[in-house]
Amino acid sequence: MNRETFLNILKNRVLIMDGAVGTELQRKKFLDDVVIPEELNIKYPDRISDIYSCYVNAGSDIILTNTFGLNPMRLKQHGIFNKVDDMVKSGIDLVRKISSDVIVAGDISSLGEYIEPLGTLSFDEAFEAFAFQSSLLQKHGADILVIETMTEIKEVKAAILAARENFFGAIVVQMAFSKNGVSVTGTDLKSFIAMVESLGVDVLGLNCSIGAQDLAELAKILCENTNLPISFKPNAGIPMLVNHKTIFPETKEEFIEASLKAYSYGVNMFGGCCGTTPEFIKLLSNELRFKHPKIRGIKSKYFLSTRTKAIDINEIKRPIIIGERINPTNRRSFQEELVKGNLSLVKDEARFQIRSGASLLDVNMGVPGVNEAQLLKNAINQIQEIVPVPLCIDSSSPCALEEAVKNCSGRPILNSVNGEQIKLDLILPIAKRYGTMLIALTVDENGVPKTTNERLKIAEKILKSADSYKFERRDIIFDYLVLSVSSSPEQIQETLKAMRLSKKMYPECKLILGISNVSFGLPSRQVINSTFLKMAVDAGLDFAIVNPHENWNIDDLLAREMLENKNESSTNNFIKAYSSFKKHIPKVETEKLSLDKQLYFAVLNGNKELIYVVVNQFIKETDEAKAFKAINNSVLMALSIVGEKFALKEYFLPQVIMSAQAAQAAFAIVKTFFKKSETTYSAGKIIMATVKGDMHDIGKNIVGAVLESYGFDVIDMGINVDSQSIIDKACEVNPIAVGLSALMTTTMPEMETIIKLRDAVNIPLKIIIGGAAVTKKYAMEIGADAYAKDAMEAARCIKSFYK
Amino acid sequence: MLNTSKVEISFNDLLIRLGYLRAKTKISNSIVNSIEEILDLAQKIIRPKFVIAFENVKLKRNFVLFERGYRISSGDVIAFLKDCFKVYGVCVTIDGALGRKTEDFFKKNEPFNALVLDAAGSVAAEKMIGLANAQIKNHEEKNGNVLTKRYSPGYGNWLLKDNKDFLDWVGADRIGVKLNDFYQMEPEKSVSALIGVKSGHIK
Repeated sequence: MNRETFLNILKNRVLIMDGAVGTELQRKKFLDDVVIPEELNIKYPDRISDIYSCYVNAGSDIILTNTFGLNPMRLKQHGIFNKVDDMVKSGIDLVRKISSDVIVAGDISSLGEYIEPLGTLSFDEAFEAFAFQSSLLQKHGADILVIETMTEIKEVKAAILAARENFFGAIVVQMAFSKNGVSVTGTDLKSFIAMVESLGVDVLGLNCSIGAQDLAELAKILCENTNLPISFKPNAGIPMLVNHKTIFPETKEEFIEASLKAYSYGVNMFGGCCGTTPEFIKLLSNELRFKHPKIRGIKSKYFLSTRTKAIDINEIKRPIIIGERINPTNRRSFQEELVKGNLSLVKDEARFQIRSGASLLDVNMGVPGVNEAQLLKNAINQIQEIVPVPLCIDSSSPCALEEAVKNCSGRPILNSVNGEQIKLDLILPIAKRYGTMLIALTVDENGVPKTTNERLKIAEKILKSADSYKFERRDIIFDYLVLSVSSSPEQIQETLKAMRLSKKMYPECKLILGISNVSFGLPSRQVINSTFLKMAVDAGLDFAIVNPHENWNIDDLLAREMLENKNESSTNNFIKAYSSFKKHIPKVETEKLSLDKQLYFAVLNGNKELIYVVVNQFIKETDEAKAFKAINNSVLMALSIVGEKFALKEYFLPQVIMSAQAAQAAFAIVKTFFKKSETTYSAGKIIMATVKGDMHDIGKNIVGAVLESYGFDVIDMGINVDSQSIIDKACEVNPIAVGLSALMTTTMPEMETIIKLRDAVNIPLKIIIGGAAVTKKYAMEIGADAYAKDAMEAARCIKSFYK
Repeated sequence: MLNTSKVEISFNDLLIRLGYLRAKTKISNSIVNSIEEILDLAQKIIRPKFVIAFENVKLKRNFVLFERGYRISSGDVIAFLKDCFKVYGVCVTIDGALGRKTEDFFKKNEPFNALVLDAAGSVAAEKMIGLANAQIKNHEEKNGNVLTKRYSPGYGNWLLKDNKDFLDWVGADRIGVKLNDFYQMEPEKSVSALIGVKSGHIK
């Protein structure tokens, strides 16, 4: 069955899917003797046929194949990857054998690992895994694809892209939500709609996690916000695992009642998830099969989104403000931070702009000498997790744009393409593939056009290209570019005229302008910018890229006259009136601290970013020995105060670690520099280990980080370390001390073993112990040289050994 | 009866877990922002799961005998369950994603992020067992019963290795909780506990 046939059926009648497979397999005790449920397809096909048959007999139009978890990652983990082709084939063939009429839905679900930044999986790895599974389902003849029980929106994105590019039938995507309409990873229903609609799925829906009663209310929200067909496959309530039984609290009557409610809201496809049985599906089929779906007349919605929030731009008052401040152009210190890969300023700018009223954020990472694609990707990954506004990804590099948009966990705007054919051919496919909006600048190889008509001609060319790539016109945002009123006063009206005409000729396209250009070279720029913004909004402007911290309420008569180019003297009049106005710049503290004081405070305040600048300045300004001594003194003095503050409880552990990270950064630079000059520096070696039988490493790692901040070389032997190998290592590297960690009373005796082994080989090795269950008394009993209750005490003890 | 499917980690609980003292500790906005960022991440990647078992018990001289045959041979457990006629066993976990991310932070030399994420995981697991406890309490109080505090393998002379049989009795494998060779639970941020039930009139 091809995609069109399926969608035609769906237009005319409600379709009934199957119910739970997993819980039915458990209930019937069919899961014995298989590694994963999908292995049944080839090892015990009768068991799977039994489940399929029950649902076909109950009235299911659609059967989901038993291929839910057949992704390469999971299969490799279980060591049965070589059987995947047979498992997929059999999963499909078994349905076909039972009924030739039923629609076979290739079933795909989550990979079980989060994509970065929530997890460690890359987007490309996730995409490849889904592509593999989709292509097998295509190869063996599934009619449609159902991507279900998804909980993370970026994974949804990877799955849809992979499915769309490797499967030819219709694609259904279902996500699992909590009762409040938010997925476990924070995505709400509208953000889900925004993402999946933009990626071109055929049906979207809800499954699993909560019961039918609650899920019906979420289905209502979907029905109110999309015109796409909707699927509904709830659990029989939230399961509870009690006395080795999984109990589903919802009855089939409650399930049907909720499904009928969902039908009345406009849902098109119905089925059941965990805890539902063929009986549920039979009742469902009796009530709903062959019914006409309700018509949903949804007023036009147009979403942009981030992971946790979507905005309907049709509902936002104009102009929609896009904050422009995440941009290194003409900002030297910002550039320097980006070159170092430090994104803390970027994150601060993101937060501040939201507070100042930005509805979206433009993100530009164009710094000479950096890997822009990598930096932009990192920035996107970090910004989108801390602020709930959609992003406008800004780069002239198609490669950087693609890497960034791929990693975007919402629906963004791409900034930008222009009328050059080569750019159109590079950027339109990216925007199309990832379902973004796209800013189109009406310039081409010949630069910025002088007239309205020339601008509109470029717009027409862009639209033709967009049509040829099947990129929807409503996703285009035209920028008719404003030039400086000081150099081209006549051009302002050309821009505004082009915008007005564009709105008439291409009403589906939106309009955007970067506003600040208009005032270039003039005094009191904000007066001009704000006045011009008001004029642009009157001309139909939808989005404005501006500094949201500025005052946008100004509407000035002189500025307006100048912008309207009313007479030859209007610019002079404006300059005359405003040239004496100075922008208020807050007075800044001008006292310059010495370098060692700066370093001291950087460590004390845990300001790792400042360390790079200060330490490099130190090295530049003085000779090696003096530099080292000064850096060492400042860092250690700061750490000593950190220790005191920690003891007084003025600092708590996160601050200690922040300071430790800053100190580590300082010593890392020193070490790199001295390595170059063939001098070596280390405060000495420390061996750290969690004792045998103990798998806990957080405490050991924290102590290690603090010790490194004092300039020690920490040799981390890891967790569950054999006692003899600790002593062997100590004999080999001759450390100042060995630090042993144990969390549990059961593993503490290993510490005594190590001390005895040390005594047996008679080496002058200091052993310091710590960990949740360890006490000073115990340390004395077993003959340890010291006990440290926390990381700072460990550092103090080891420093005393060092002396 | 039990619902621990959504667990909110409170910022204040996290600060306290990290050693913050309201009267003394001074923290800057940048630290607050950094902690909030990691808290937000934790909230996205924890996957609360729980499993519960309950059974009537008889207290013998040397062991606690469960109705269906499971026994706990620990004097301290016998003493803990004094006057109890029934016990609940609960196991909760936040799943493994948070642990993997913590490890990843350490690998990338980001101990601050690792520390805060790990602490957030501990707060979440404690919150979950607390929620489970509260719901059991609520249920039993309706029947006029009272609960003991929680008690876990490894406390007193109830050996850590006995957690294996206890988790088997609870059915912890259903939520993916298992023991490593040293009887420590995996995922690490998991809690197992025994709760006794006695009639309300027994003080």
